Amino acid sequence: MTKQYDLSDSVQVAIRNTIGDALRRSAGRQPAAPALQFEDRIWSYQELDLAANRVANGLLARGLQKGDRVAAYGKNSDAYVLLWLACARAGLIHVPVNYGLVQRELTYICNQSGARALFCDDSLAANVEAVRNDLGVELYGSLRRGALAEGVDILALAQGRGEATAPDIALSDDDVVQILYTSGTTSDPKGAMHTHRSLMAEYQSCLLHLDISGKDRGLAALPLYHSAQMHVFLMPSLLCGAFNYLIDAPVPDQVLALIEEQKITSFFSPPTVWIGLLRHPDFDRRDLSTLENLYYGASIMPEPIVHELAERLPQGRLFNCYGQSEIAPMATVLEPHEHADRPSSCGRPLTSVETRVVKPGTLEDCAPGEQGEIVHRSPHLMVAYWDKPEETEEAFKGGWFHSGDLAYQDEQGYLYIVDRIKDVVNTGGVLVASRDVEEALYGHESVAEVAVIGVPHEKWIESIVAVVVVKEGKAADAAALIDHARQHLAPFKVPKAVHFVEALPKNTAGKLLKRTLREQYAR
Amino acid sequence: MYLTQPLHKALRECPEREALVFADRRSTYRDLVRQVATLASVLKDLGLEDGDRAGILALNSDHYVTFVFGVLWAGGVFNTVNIRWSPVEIAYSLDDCDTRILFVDDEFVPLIDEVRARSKSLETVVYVGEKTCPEGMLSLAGLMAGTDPVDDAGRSGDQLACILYTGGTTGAPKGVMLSHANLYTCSIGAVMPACRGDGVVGLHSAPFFHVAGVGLILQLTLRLGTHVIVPRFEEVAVMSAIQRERVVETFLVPTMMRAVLAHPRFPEFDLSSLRCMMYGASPIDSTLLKKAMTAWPEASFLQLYGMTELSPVVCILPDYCHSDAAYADKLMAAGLPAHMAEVRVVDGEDNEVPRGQVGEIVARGPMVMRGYWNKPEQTEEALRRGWMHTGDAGYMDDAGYVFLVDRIKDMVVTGGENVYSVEVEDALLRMPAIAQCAVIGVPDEKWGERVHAVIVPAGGAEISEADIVAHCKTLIANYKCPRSFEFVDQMPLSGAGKILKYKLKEAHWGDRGRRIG
Repeated sequence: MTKQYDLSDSVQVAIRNTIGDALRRSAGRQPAAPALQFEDRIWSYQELDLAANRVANGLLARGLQKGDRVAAYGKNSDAYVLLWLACARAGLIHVPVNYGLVQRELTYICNQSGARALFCDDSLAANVEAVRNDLGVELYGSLRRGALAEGVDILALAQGRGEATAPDIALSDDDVVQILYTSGTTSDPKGAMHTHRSLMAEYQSCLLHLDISGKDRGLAALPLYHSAQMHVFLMPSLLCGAFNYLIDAPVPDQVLALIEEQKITSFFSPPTVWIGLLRHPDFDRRDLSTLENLYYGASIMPEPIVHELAERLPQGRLFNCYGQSEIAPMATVLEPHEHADRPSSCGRPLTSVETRVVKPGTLEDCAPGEQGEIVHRSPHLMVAYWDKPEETEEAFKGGWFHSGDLAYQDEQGYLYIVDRIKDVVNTGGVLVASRDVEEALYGHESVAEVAVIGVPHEKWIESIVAVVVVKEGKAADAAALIDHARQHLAPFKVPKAVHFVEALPKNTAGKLLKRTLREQYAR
Repeated sequence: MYLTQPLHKALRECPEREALVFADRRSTYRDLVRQVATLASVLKDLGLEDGDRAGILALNSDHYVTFVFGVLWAGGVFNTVNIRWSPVEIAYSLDDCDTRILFVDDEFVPLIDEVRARSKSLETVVYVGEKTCPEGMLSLAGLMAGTDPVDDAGRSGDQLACILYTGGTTGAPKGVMLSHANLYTCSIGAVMPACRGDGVVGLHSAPFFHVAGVGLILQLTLRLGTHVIVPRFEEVAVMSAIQRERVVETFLVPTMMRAVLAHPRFPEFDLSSLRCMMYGASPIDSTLLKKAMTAWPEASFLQLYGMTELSPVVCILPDYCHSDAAYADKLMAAGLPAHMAEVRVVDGEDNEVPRGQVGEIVARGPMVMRGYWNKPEQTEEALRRGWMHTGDAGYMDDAGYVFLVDRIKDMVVTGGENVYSVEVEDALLRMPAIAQCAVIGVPDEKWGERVHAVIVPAGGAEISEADIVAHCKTLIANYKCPRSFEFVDQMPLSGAGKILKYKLKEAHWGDRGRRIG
């Protein structure tokens, strides 16, 4: 006999742990401490908390109801953050839309999520106007005063005199609070649905592993529509009382100037941005001595850059963060002291994450060194893809989330990412990571950009094809490139053909569309 | 969130790391997981179904840790029985939540006949001792030998993980229901603010039946650390275990810390491996802290404050308050609210009082219990308006530090145990020679507070202290029995005829700012 127990309302209120609850706790602890600065506006924790309530009440007053989807189409700003926090407070589901998307992709995300409201920057209003007739949106508004004059303005609501007590909405930790659309290089974007519970679990992991504390002064420069800047850095640091300076793009001279002026202690960006900072003349002119926590992700930091950073920022500590939207997104971390021995690893699973490398198509463990697919179990994981039950089922096959990343583990359990599984070429039954071939070709002085794909081949299953953009003034010489590849790669990895193009097909977020290339070169 | 997750991780990430060290037994995480999965199988064979309770009455050992995870792995709910209780109280707690399987070690075998006689629920007693299995009990070793491991039942989130008994204001103990998410979230919050690294060696000497013991097991397992276990706190056992195993972190209440530092054999041991000293139950005074910092110059210090209903940690006094002179005035604080905990000080109507003003400390957050087992009214009372009422009186300073000053509940905390006055008073009043009585906590060098009885004898009868203690021992646990007495002709009474305990306390606590140990 198993006795059941019911939770009384009092218990449910006492134990609730939504994102709105977390913000209120931070405000209760340090009401006057500065939480967020954008341009010349500084929001204390208390102001942020009250403003989130005003925006939440404003949205509800305009007819939005619990569970409605609210699209946010804007660059980083305080209003962007406030809309997100207000959605969490009001029980609305926030749908970030990459501001690089236009036309079909913008329409797709708004309509697939069934967005009832859309808020955008004035600078992006024209993109919205262009597709407005195709959208099911009922309520339009702006993130920055001025745009779409007839609509609601988030900043005005935040700074206004509206009701500042939290709205009376029944919320639970299991309510969906955000739908994060994956970038979809191989198919239509899928919306990873996150609950308060999954995101709060992820924030705890980040606080535990990334040395984030209330003493931090962070610079948030990467887009907040992306889960890394939002859920690995901004939100965990708002949970522990830190200060965040927000800008809308990682422009090197501005970043370097702000680190000096604002005494920034922590900064996240992909390796390419770090390299850009190192190459900027201001790097040595600015006082960067406050910068201690150096975070990167999305790809490995080239080893010479690890050494250069250690030399030029001797107080700095490097963290490599790996994951994906579906896991909110942190899954593994390579901590500072682990960089010396394994600079190309993305580290080991976080405390709340179980990670395995399995033979693709099975749940059999790979041996150390053997390549397979990364699968995870964790409370960070999304609960489903929005309105895609089959894709959800497929992704969670066997009770593990299938990442789609090809990787291997060393004897100590450190992970090394090889490629996206869909970008692996199967040549004569041997799997070749397109990334390996691309890296070899990048070593040739004529190559500006390259994409390596597999095209169907009757004898080899797939044959390796390189599609190359040459640097200005350089000759397009296929034989020279193949020769170069032979010197750096095992024979089976050498491209069978090289095609030259003016530009590679990319989506508006700048992500390479290998799917298009495969269709184009399949014969 | 599920509490067995670290075991699955350990199997992948560090199967050969030592998990448990007890006496001359050592086991790796691979061994531990196999034992846990086998124990789970044994429990299922014994009839344990999803959500059923299984109890343990034992001193600390490696088996205890295996039991806790084994019950969870089997899909059960563990009930760790207070080892200081009388058979009457033990039987009450087993029956209250229908615990039918009880594990027992050598220390408590002698109590079992009486517990069996008094309990209606208890069906199966499993022996986890080191000798031959007594008659009428099943030997765990024997059961495990013929059993194959099973898969993890996979309970998680809001499902119950344990029921832990705590004293009740109305006399009867209450079963505090904690879920997987309660304990998991609280454990992460407890390890967050300190340098409590991964894979370290930790020593347990706090009793595992207590919520602090359970919490410490989880906090270390979460980081895939090595558990070094001694059966109970004893100075030499603790010091030799630290030296032998190069222990990095441990938890000692200040009275224990004082006992270790003052022990004549203290200089013989090399305790230099200690890096993290946690304490709780009472603040550390600056004299003791100075001594401890001299003894362990490399160690950081951390105070944890909480209660069973809060899984248990809700405030933490960080290391910098101990090492940085600028925070000297915070040393007497219980700490800052832990991550995910919201703490307030309120008046009798649950309105927040201004900073610095004394009121009741209340808390909310994901570490708040799911309620008291089968006691909806008491759950509602404790959690009224959505806040857990701690029963502790205190204030919050401008920087947000929580300071305790007194107790609102009529309760004595002695040696880390909660003793509700009403329970002791009930026992006393069953003695015909006692007309009136009041039980209060008075300061005590060793126990923090001591159970003290103020008694009005019936018709001027002569009563001996020894008789009273003997009488009480037949009804309540040893530690609840009064340790000191005061015989008076009459009690100080309020206009309504209520005994004014604060007047009785005044004589003992004088003008100290804090009236709790």
